[in-house]
Amino acid sequence: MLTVYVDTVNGNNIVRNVEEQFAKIKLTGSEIERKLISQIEQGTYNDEYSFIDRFGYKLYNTELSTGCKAALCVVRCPELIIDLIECGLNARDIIIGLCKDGNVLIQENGVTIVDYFEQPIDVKIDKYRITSVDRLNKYIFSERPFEPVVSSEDIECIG
Amino acid sequence: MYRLGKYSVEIIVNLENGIYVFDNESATGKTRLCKVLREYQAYGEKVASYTYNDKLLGVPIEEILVPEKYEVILLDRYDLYEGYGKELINKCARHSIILVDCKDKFTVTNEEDWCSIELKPHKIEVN
Repeated sequence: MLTVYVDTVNGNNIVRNVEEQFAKIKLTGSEIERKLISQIEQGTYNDEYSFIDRFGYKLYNTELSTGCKAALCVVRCPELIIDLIECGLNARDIIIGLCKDGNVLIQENGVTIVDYFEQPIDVKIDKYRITSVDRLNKYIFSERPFEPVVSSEDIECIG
Repeated sequence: MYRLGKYSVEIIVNLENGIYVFDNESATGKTRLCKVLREYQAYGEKVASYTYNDKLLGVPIEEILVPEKYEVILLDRYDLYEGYGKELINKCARHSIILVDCKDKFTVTNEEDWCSIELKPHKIEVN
């Protein structure tokens, strides 16, 4: 499950400077990494050090956007909480749509999440497990901090 | 309006002097523009940029927020140092085009406008 924290989170495993964190990780070419580079960067994974950008140029991974680096940190560092403050809305929504593990901190900025992939998600937020973007939007932007209505299949209380 | 075409990457900024925040999207070319401006600044052009690593290295933002010295100034990753240089940013905005990458709350001014960036291999255009 991808754990989503909203606005604040406690702990000393929060990553605010994703550029620094990204500099410490190695990509593996996994399917999720390739999808994130494709969807956020409009590029193609090349090897653990490089990617092919949208114009066909081979660049070092240091040239990836901060948003894409944040997404890759979510995947490669599942024990850390990645602050998505530097992520554009597109990167935020792609992370939520594709990542099934890891931890992220997002801001409640009133802009709902776009369901890019129209497929189930697997998100833990507060004490709930939510499996659709629609239901996640409803919980974050309409119900929270109050108790949600847990009457549909795409939300369950997991304590 | 600012245009610089003598180097391999052409820079076009179709904006009047003032403060502009980039739209809230990742992977559009903002950091690339930041790096290109930094390079051209070294060549003596009236452009400058500042990013979070500069702050970590102790480079004061006052070094680039010098009123009337630069025509275009880009503040990259401003979310991580939001509020820093607030007064100077407002002062410089009378004489420069200030471009800011800030996706969360921007408290420097209430008078900022939005801008978008278009990245091509040999041209970066801001509107």
